[in-house]
Amino acid sequence: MKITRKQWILLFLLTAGFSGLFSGMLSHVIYDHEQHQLFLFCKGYFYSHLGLPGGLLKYITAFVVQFFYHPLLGSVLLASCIALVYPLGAIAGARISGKPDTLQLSLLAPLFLMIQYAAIEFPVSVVIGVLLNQLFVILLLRLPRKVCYFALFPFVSALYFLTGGYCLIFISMAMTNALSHAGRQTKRQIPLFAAFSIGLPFLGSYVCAVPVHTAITAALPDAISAGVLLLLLLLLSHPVLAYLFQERLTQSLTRLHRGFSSAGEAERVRSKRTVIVSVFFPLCYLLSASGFLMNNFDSRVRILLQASQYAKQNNWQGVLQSAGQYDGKNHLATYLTNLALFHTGRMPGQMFSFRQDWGKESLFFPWTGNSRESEYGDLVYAGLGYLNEAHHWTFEAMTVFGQTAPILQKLIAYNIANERPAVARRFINVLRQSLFYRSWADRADKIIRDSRSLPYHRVSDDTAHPARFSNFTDIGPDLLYLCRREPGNRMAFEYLMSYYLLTNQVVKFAENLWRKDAFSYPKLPRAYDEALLTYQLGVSPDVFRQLRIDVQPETMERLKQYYAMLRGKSDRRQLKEKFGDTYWYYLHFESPYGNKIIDRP
Amino acid sequence: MIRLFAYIIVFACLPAGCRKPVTPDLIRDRQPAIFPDYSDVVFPPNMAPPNFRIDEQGDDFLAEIGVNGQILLTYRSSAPEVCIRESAWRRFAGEHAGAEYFVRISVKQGGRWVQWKDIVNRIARQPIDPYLVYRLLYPGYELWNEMGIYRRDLTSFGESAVVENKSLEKGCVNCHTFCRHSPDTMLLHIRGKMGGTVIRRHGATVKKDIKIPGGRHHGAYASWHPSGKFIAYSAGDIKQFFHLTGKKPVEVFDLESDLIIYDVDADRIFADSAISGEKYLETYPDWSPDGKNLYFCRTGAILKTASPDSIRYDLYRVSFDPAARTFGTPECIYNASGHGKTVALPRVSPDGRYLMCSMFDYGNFGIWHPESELSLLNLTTGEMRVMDEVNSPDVESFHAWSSSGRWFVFSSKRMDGLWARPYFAYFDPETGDASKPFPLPQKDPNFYEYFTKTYNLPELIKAPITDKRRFYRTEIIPIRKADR
Repeated sequence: MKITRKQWILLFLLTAGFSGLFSGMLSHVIYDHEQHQLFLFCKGYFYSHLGLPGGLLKYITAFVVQFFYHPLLGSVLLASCIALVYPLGAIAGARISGKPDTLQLSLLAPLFLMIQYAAIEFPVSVVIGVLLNQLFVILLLRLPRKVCYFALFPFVSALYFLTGGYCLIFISMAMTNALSHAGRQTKRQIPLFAAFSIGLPFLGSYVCAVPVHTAITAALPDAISAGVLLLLLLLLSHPVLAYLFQERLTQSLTRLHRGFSSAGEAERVRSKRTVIVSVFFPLCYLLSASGFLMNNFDSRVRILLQASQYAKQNNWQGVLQSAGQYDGKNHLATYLTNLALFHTGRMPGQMFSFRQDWGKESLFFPWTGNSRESEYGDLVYAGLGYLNEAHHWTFEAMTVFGQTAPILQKLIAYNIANERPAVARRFINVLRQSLFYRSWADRADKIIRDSRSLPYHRVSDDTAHPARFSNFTDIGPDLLYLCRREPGNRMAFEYLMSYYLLTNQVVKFAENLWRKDAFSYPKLPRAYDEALLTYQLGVSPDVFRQLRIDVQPETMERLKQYYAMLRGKSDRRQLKEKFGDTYWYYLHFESPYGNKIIDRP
Repeated sequence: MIRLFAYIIVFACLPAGCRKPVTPDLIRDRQPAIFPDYSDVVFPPNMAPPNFRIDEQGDDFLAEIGVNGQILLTYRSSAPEVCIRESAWRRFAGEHAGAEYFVRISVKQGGRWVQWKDIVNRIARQPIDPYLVYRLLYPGYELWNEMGIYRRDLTSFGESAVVENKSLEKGCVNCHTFCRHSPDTMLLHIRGKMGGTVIRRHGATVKKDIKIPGGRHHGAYASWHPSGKFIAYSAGDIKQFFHLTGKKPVEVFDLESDLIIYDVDADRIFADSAISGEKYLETYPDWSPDGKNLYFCRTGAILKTASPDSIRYDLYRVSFDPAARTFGTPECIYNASGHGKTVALPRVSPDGRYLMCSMFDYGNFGIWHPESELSLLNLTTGEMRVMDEVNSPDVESFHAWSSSGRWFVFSSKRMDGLWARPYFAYFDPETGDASKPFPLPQKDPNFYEYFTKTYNLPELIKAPITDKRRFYRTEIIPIRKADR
């Protein structure tokens, strides 16, 4: 049972190919896995994985995933894990079926896994679970038959507590092995396997004091369907196929032999055909897998994850570039775009150059209990200085995703900025137990010890109104409150103005435009100018004069052109091309609140 | 071989037994800082050892524990953690129940041994109930993922799950409530797809939907009648609000709330105008030990215009006739709102002489109020006092008496302001005074530095909970009858 040269070559090619995919097209997969798991070097973390069968698999997976911190290392690691399924499967298959894997069926499982890993939800634990089971199968097959008989129970039990429901892979492969070998000794193993399959969940249920269904499905991830798991199981059980089909292949080759004049000629033809089969089938698999992979790959997920990665790094230019590539309507993309527009100083001028499909919700996530949104909802509040609300969102994210590094980092930062050093220190202590975030945690601890502050603005406590609550379904009232309390809060001002514009509240926009005097805009930003002109057209000159703000002449000229095109019934596409980035176009065609100003005076 | 063993024994003994006794070069006139704070406290004789960490700088650490000047236990290490052997502590605490003991700490600093003033604690004669049941979860607000109700064996460090939500399709598990500290008569709520109230009594475990037909709200906070025949529930519309600024992150309010009673024998839910209705909001029921009175908190119905910080609850009592299933007229026994406070979580002591509750500035959910403090009402004299001896500048909230009434456990956020940890204190029913509280001992003295889950609703029970798999039973058996 050794890896042949051909298998080494294929293993290398698979690893290199998969690594290339994970460092290129699928780099977001590595990033996303790393951001959602945190391995801790402490006893408590280890013990917390012992409660259920399969807990250790999660522990081992988290250990592996921590290395994804370095994307290249992570790519190679995950690629190697997936690629290793091939030689291990081939070795076990050859031993079980007793035949060479001429059709290269062992390639199917790693290719299938690779296709699945194009989706970010597919957990790393699957490939680790498969590998562990394959290793146990090979270990079992190396044992002498008699020892093997007695080793079955400890093997299956150990695997069950190590990998939970994944031990079905081991059981099915070991059963295939028993079936494919004649002899009373091996046949006797079959009822034993059946007994294990039924008995183990009950044993797990008893030992762990959990219901039987939990003991069966333990460690199997919720994120993947039963169909995918079943298919994976079938592909891993390829020795059965090899046993059945390759028998026929051999028979046909033997028949071929009979037709030739000499044995040497027949052998030459047979080996030539074997080579062709060995090359043809893997090529077919690879081509099909590439097709499936492209089909399974969602470039929009990649764009979104890239944008969120840039947002975490405060690379707002990168956010704009990434989110700008997003084709379609997406709440997160719009939300991040608006944050980036503010941070790059382009919000008042260019917000309508970007899609604003969600109305006021383009600016924030209303609290709906959506766990995925909880990861991002804090960003706007942290910028505004509502650290309580930012903390609220991040804490909710922690209850869902657990103590992951980005969540802990944010909680540490918010608590330091919010003057809760004791709470921050608890999170620092946790982060310190990780391998790659230890130095970050030490730096945060130093900030606390030196009583330094963080670059977060914090809205001061409102002692006059101790019970003032956030409105987590509509950010507008909170923005207005904040503008009143902190007239110099630029983000609050620009978000309030954007809120009014996005909700067609042009009158309120105009009434609050005087707040711009707290900031040094060289001239009235374009979107504001356009909205102000809209306001001017709807009120009497006396009312407008009270604002003491004039509309710039070029904006008036632009509006004339806009109306000319609109009235001239020119093509909507042309109108969008020329005026799609104006507030007027948004108001007429894109606002989810209709094309009317909502708060006429 | 024998020689080898002899060498091993000799070398093993060298570091401990054959070390030179420490003679202090300097004696400090203050107690050393230790974590957790196990100084000047009273321990039960049957509790796990209070392991601690010496929070003084040094290269070598020595902790000597003894009684009447005689050192009985010695721990010396280059690490500041002092982990007392469980068997040694059990023997020590058992032999010296009722006595004071000292913890003498010396630390080698810059080549000199510095000794601090002795920490003096006491071991009570009265044991504590051996099991503590609590819910563990991240202290989130609306979302959750993994949570569970756990049982800690107080005589050791063993913890085991009673029920975990990973086997309940990630539903929420909460409000474990016991009748007279017995796990044989208990209930817990499950929310989510497999939701319902699991009630265990007379060896049977059933799941019920505690709700008056046509009523809008399910039973929440519960209290078992001492007979085990009735359960009083609050049923309300609970809402959360998040503070924009300030130290309180969240506010929890009942917009509507009534008390309802579940007659377990008759499988019947009923309400009474004395404890429900639109005029008042009633919550936090608690039966007196004789079962003749029901204590609860009450405030006027909340007007839409009312400012949240103006809502204050008073403490009420109403008589109950179990045979007739009727209530008397509620009487206010403590007008907290008159003192600018609100009252929550009344719990009557097992002897019926005292009532412990938490008091804070407004609302009815004190766990997020740093000013929340435990208070004690002497039911004989009617005198209410704030329990300064157990309170801290941060939150003190949910509390539970031991079956003997000599101990109580409560949730406190004093360590950092975010996570609630169970604290214990000895109570003297003769004087009505409590000792300085101490946190639940952990095997690793640094445990609380790393543990980021909160301990919810600590309850003391007398025996372990058995047959836990029955809690996962999914079918709801409908309530037979209900009336108002």
